[in-house]
Amino acid sequence: MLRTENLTFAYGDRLILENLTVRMTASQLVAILGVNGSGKSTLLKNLNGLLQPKYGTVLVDGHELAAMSGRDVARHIGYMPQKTTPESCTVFDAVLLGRKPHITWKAGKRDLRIVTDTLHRLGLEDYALRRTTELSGGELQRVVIARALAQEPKILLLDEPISHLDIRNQLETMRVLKNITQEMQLTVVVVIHDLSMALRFADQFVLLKKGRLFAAGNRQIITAATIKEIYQINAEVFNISGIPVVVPTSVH
Amino acid sequence: MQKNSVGLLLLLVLACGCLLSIRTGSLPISDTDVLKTLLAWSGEGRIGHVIWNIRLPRTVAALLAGAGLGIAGAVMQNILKNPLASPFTIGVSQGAAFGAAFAIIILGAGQTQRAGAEMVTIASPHLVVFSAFLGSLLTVIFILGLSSMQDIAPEAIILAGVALSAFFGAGTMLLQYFGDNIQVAATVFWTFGDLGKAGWFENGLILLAVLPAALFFIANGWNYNTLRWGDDVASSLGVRVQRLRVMTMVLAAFTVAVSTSFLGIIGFVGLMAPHLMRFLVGDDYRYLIPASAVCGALLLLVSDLLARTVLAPIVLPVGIITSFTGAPLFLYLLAKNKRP
Repeated sequence: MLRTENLTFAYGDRLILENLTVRMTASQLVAILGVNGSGKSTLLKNLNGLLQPKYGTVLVDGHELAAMSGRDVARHIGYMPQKTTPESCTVFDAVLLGRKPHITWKAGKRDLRIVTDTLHRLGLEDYALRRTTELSGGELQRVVIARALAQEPKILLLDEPISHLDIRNQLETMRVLKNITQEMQLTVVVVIHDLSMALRFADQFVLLKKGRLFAAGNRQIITAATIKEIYQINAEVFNISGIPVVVPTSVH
Repeated sequence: MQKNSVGLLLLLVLACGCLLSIRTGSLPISDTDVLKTLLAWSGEGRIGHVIWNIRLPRTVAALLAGAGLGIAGAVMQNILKNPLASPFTIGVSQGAAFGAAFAIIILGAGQTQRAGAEMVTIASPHLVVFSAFLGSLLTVIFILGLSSMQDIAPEAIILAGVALSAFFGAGTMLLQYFGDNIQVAATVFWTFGDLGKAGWFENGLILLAVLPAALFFIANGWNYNTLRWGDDVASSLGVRVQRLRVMTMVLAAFTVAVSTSFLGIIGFVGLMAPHLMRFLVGDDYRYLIPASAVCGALLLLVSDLLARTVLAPIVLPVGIITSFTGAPLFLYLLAKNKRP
């Protein structure tokens, strides 16, 4: 379980996150929503210690994140940054890097087995010997998710995992995330802009407005009113064959 | 080709290079005599003296300095995220040249004039070496200060190196402007990278700098691999990025500072060795670092052999050969691979 208490972060004097208290539970896909600049990516970086909060704490299974070593954090939390530039290596080697927090000198049999299993889980087994520079955007995204999964984390943080993907790859990536959330009982936190995708796949929602927590809860909190308040647009939420779809109608 | 096979092949070529280096010179020595003298572990007799006191120290200097430059180049290209990063690019060599010029011209390290090919020799080499080391050290401290700043981009360190090189270059020229002919000649003579300057004592000191650096770099091969994917990815995998960057800079710069102080400026080896090895072993730093060490040693050894043979009996400074062969080779690599 991941929890923040009164989390406040600032770049110098400029406050980015203010007094955030949220709770994210296991086996839940959590969507962080908000306009550009509302502090979503900064929150994600605070959640795995890439940035240090000015005040407040982040707790991982009740343990204070600030008191954990970098290696310990990496054994608990996997992270996917917003942009990934592929480096020339095989897909297998790229995913093997995820074992780094568990390896002291040389990758053992268990490490290799976990990498093979992870590749299989994400449907990448046929790509193992392909070079990452030859992959499409969607394939590379799955490799990066596989690398984070190879860390054997309890929590997975993903910064805009579907932003640069076509609609098919968006759908596939979100399905993969939903599956691993449930099968591996992970807490998966995604920063996402696509409200329809978020509503369709996420279990929990954290809505940020100007660095403050506007609302948190299940999908019931995503209404035309909250969308209007957060994004300053008029929108309608439809349900088509059981699939929620958010249609923006006009700018407020 | 398998990475292990590449490693074995390189080591084999290096061993042959060493043998060739020891037997080549004005006194011809057969392979059998070379092996006999080495196995006898004695510098007695004419051949023993030449091998143990002249050729072997020179060969060992090539191995140590070349390996040091090779690994320093490999890790600098990684942590500074720039394929053009090398000990030469960040200004360490130019800092050493300024230090040497300062000792020769201002501190009057002393020179004597001779006739013939060895027109100028430096009478107080230890003072020059010490001053050159301080010059390198100044650069290292400055670069280190920059590296330890949280919000400075690694790319900016390369630019700072370019600025430092220009600064030290101007300083050296200013000193030369006020020096007499002999002092200027002595300064220029010192800057030529020359393996003949090394004896066993110098080699021992170079080894003390290269060995811990090599062990640290090899032990951090995984960490350098994670850094290729960006600082955030490396940090999220448990790497202490800032600490690694500072430690790497310190060890790489000291390695180069020590060898440059004793041997003079040797360009392009630190830049070329990692790039050449990327073709053979790829970008995996677990293999690239040791491969760059062997390749750097091999490059310097072969360059020194060329320096001693192309215009024999005149022995050219090895720095001239490395630059002459390194520059076109690098341009070829640039043309072949748009991203070196």
